Amino acid sequence: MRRGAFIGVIIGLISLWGGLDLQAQDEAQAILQNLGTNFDKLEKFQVDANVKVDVEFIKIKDRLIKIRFEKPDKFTFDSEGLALLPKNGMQMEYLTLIGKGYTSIMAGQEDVAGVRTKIIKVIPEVENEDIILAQMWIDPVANRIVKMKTYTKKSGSYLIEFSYKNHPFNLPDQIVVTFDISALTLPAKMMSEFQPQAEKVKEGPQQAKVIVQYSNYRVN
Amino acid sequence: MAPYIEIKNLSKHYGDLKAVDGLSMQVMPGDIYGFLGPNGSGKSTTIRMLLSLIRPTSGQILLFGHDLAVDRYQTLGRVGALIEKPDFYNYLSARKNLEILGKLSKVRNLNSRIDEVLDMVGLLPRAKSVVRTFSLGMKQRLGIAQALLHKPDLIILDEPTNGLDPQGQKEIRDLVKSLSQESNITILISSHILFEIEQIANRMVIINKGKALVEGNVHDLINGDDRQVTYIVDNSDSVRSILPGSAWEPKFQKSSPDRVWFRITKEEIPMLTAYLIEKGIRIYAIEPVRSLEDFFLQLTENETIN
Amino acid sequence: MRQLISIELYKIFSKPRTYIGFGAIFVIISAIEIGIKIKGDDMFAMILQNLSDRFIFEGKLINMYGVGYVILNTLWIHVPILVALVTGDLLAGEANSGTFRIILTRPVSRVKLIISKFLAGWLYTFLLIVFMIFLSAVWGWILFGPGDMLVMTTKVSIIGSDDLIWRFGCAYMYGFLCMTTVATMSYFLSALSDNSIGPIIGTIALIIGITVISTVGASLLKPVLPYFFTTYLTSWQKFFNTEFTFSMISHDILIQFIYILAFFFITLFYFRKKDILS
Repeated sequence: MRRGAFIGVIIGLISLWGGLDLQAQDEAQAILQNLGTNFDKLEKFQVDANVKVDVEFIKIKDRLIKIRFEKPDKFTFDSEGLALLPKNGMQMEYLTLIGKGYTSIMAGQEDVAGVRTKIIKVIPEVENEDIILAQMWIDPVANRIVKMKTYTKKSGSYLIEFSYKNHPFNLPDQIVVTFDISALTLPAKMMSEFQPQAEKVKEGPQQAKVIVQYSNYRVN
Repeated sequence: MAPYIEIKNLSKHYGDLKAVDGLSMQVMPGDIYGFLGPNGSGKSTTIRMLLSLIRPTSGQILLFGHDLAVDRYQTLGRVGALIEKPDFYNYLSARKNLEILGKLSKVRNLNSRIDEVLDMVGLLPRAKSVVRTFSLGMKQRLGIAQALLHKPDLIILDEPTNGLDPQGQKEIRDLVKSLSQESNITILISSHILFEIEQIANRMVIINKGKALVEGNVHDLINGDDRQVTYIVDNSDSVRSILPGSAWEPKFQKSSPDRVWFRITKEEIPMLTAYLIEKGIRIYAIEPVRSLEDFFLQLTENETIN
Repeated sequence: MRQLISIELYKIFSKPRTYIGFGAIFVIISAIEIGIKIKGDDMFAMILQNLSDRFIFEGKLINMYGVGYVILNTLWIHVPILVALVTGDLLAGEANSGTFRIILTRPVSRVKLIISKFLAGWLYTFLLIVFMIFLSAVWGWILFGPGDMLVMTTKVSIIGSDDLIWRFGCAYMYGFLCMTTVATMSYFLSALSDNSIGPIIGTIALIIGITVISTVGASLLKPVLPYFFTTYLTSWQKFFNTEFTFSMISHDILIQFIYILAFFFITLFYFRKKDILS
């Protein structure tokens, strides 16, 4: 009797856990679907972007570029001068991610800049995709991404932090893309070994930060 | 009148080598002055010092009474020179070469003067030709033209007939004579061709091992001493057989089958000739009297022996 | 003096060898410009390979300024040879051809002759650099047009096109100063020689030799490197530092001037006393 009851409790707990797990998955799915739905009506937009590159060994003034988006994922950048843009982070990769097949897992909650966010891990199901894993901090109330950490095969990991000013389509007014560049070598770095007068390139872990401020959205 | 060139105790040493050793000489206005010496005697070094191409080790050079070390520009403006082989800017025409040199010498009415000197040396038709296309003789004549360009009072010629054919040599000799006689230009001429110096120079110096051996009037130097006279006879043995005991025996030098050499003065030539004829010797020719070449060789050989 | 300089310039520009310099500059710059036009994308892709892992470049990467920068990098390699080709011949050539005998027997000051020859050689160097600028600008404008410039040294800098003209101007002026040092050195060697091959080869050998030794034995020669003028031949790059201040290059300029004055005055004093035996 006692043994039977014990097994029954275990099965019950497992079922409950499984049920809860399924429930969490459903919640993650729902939040991501909500996010996707928000952008369904977004056919195209144009925006001006001020790009500021904050890297120790890169010297460049802030650049003003024009960004054009056309559904589903076509981005074009138009710069008068030469602009240095982060390879990942400026092309709404999250849209592409949730637009294709994926598995999502709730990973808890966290307050980010005073906003209660749900943490969702997203694993793309599409093969040959560069993104291996993405972790999103989503504000379910405002239905927008607050933060996203992405792990890629070719370009390492990068973090995007979003700021908003209540745009209708929840388009951000600023993003900050942060990524590791410690492994980056410059041809000139080798040259500095042979130029006694030249400055040495700093060794050790280095981060790059690109701050993009958007203004003057022209949507659809 | 002050000498145009006065060299006082001039020396040039290259380490232990004394290229010029206490040389003194004078070139008077109007002279055609022969500057002679064997190879390596210091002629070119002296000429280069005269033209301030080389700095003397010691001594003094006066040109027109002015110290060359002090008044280089004033004095060189009155001197024209052709040193050794004539070298020009081979990639430029004859006219252009003379233009450059004329500007350096601040020649007035340069273009007409260029025409004049080119005509003087017979190169006017080739004025526009690039010097690279000139023969050695033409370059030599161009060299004389550049020396005359600025109407100098003194011309220094270092072996001006080098490489010329006999016709060319004669032309240069005639030109030198006319420059002296018609233009009253004083000329210092260095040459290995002693015959032509004898022809044109009135005064000369002979140097060897950097020192002056003798200086003076050409005629007086040549004719003042014994000279070698050659008799061309039918049989030199017959001449030798009549000499013992005669006054002419000490004057005998040497003989070959048909020649006999005597060292006698100019005045003794007719006397010896008469003696030989009297003794039945058949004389076919008497070689020229004492030449500069003889004088030169005798002087420099003695110097070498001494 | 003006007449002497004009005579020397006339002699320089009457010689075929003078045009070798201009011809070589034309060929080299044209080859670089056309080569970059054809293969520039591949070239820049290779250079930016590492950065391309993390960044994308938007805008006209290959433009007249970027190509001009590449051309400037060749400055210290081929231009010294072309400069020495003429300046190394200024005195040695006269000795070799025997023309000192007709020049220096004229009422001309040796000091004025030395100065006028030097100035003529210096003007030739100036015209060579101007020709280089002109060709680089014309080809660049026709083939690429203006744009911002990417400079990769130990840093990556992107300089706006509105901020480049003065930098290029200063870089070329500094390059001209360095080539003046080369010209003066070969002029000095020319005074010592009776044959122009010696000064030309000597100049190139010294520049390349000192540069190689400085590179290979950098640690060994560290105390004396700051005193070699070759150490500063590439200092024009400092003008493309976004934080450029004049103090960064003032020492380098001073070194060049010291060498120019030293070589020139040694040449002057030596030649005044020299026996002309050729």
